[in-house]
Amino acid sequence: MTSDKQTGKAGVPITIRQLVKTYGNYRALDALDLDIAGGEFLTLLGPSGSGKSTLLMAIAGFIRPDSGLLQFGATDVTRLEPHRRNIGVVFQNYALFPHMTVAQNVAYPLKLRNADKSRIDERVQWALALVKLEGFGDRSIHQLSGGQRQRVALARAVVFEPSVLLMDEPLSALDKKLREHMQIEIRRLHEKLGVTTIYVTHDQREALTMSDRIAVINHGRFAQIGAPKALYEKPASRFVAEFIGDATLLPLDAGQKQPTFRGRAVKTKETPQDNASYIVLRPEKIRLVGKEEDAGWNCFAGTLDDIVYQGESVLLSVRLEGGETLFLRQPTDQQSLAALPQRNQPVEVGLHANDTLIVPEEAA
Amino acid sequence: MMDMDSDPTVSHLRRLWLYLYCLAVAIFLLAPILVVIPMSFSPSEFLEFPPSSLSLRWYQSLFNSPEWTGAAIISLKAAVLTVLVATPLGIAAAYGLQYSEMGIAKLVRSALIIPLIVPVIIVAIGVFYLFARLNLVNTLTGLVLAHSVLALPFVIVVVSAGLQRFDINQELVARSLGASRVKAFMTVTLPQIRPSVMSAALFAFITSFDEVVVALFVSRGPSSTLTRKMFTSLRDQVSPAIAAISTILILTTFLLALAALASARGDKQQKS
Repeated sequence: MTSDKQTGKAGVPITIRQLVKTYGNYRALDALDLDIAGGEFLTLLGPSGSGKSTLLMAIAGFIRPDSGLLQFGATDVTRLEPHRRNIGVVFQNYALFPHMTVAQNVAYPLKLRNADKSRIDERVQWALALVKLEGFGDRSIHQLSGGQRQRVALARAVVFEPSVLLMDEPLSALDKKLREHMQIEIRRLHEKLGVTTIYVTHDQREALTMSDRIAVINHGRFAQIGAPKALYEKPASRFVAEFIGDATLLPLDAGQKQPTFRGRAVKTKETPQDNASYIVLRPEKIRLVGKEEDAGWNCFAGTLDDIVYQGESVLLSVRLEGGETLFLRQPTDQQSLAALPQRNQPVEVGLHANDTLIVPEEAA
Repeated sequence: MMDMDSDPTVSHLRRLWLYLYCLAVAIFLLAPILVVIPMSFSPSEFLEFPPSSLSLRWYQSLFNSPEWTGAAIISLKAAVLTVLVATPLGIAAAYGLQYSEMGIAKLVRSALIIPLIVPVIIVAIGVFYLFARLNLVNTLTGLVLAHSVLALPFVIVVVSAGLQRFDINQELVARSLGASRVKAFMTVTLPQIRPSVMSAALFAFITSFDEVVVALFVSRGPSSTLTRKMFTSLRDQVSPAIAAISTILILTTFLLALAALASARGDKQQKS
């Protein structure tokens, strides 16, 4: 415990080695390895049932792994009970204690640590100020809005300077505006406290916005771990390319030495890997081009299927000659809108060689 | 309910028949209970209604009879001890069954509810033969154990209902914040299921206090409970003493129910 307190400010590194959890025949965690730096904000991103929450609960100590190692700093915590791990947890439904006031909720972990009264008062004030809820101490939980409850849950989870902060989809119950606001707030709070934070979400945009690094998880394995930009710009597999951001994937011709699509060579900046099998087309990376466009472009001929006005952008869907549908985003300034072709007209879609991504089915 | 009360389309006058009907039902339910109260104040040797004059004679004779007061003390002791045995056991069982992931939990729940379904006489016979071997017949311990068996299903059912409204994530959070399992249960779970626990305890008390069949088998002579003594003395003579005891019992039960109701209301006010 004492070592936790010293390192609390700097953030404790977490080491996960060959962590396995099975339910019957189902491998919820399939021999996971992960190193999280002290003070890092890492997001576990994956579809439901991918194992992201199972991993979080294993780190919290509520799920006992079958085998493997879990370390906070140099301490092996694999078999340590949750209440001895010095972790703060924020759940999706906040799980505030309704029979206590806001201040009593926040004071709860301090009381368990036998802090004296003046120290408790001081820390509670500090934590409530941190989440901008000064003066809410005497309120009952029932009097708070969803966003305020979220803040109390956060204050309660950080008031005792935990070594690790764990959050399980904490914003999913909030509406979009508030959610986006809280993403920035949590980010700011993390920067201020420097506590090692593991955040679980299925919302890829949230993950991109908040994280230092994202670990994409699927079927109990990591599909890819990296910084948001790296994941978006250089997905390691078809799954990651499709899960993060919007993308249409076109299959390359099989059995060719150089990548080709329907017989035409696909121009890329870097030589693709041997097992590369899909071109990734993201709506904001492609645009309508004239037939005479220069050699730097990969072009796809098709028919304009639909035009959907979405406010900040226009989404066009183009059906290729082979039947696949591509989506592309256009700005909504007057000039761009005026230049849009009519529906059902033949169009040419261009993807610049510098933006051309080619991914394998499975990561190497 | 609130909406129906304030519904302006049906006047109270047109609903009069409904009120009268409800009154009739209430009288039907309560009259047999309430009729013993005036009878208990009769000075006569026999039960009579209405009493010719008023007297506390039978109350006096009750309180002066060591047999009756002794039986009352046995009953109270048994009821209190049954509460102390059945309530914690029932809470533990309800909690375990609620959060167990094992398939057998459902079976165990049914097994624990059985005393509620089986005719009490069967439980009584079984208990009698078992206690005869264990030398527990006519002991307070035996009586409390048997009553706890009968009270346990009530406690489990009532506390389970309370736990269903409780969010177990709260306990997980408490544990992450530094509370051991026991501490988390005591500081977070228990305060929130308190109303259920109170009514469960009340049920346990009344189960034991009202019980007569098992008592007929396993509590005899000086360890007779009040209800058992009432039952046996009714066979010999029907005196207003019985009415006096009944009145006391009705009053006790009524006050207990009132206390439970008040505590539940207090909890609600705290929440809103």
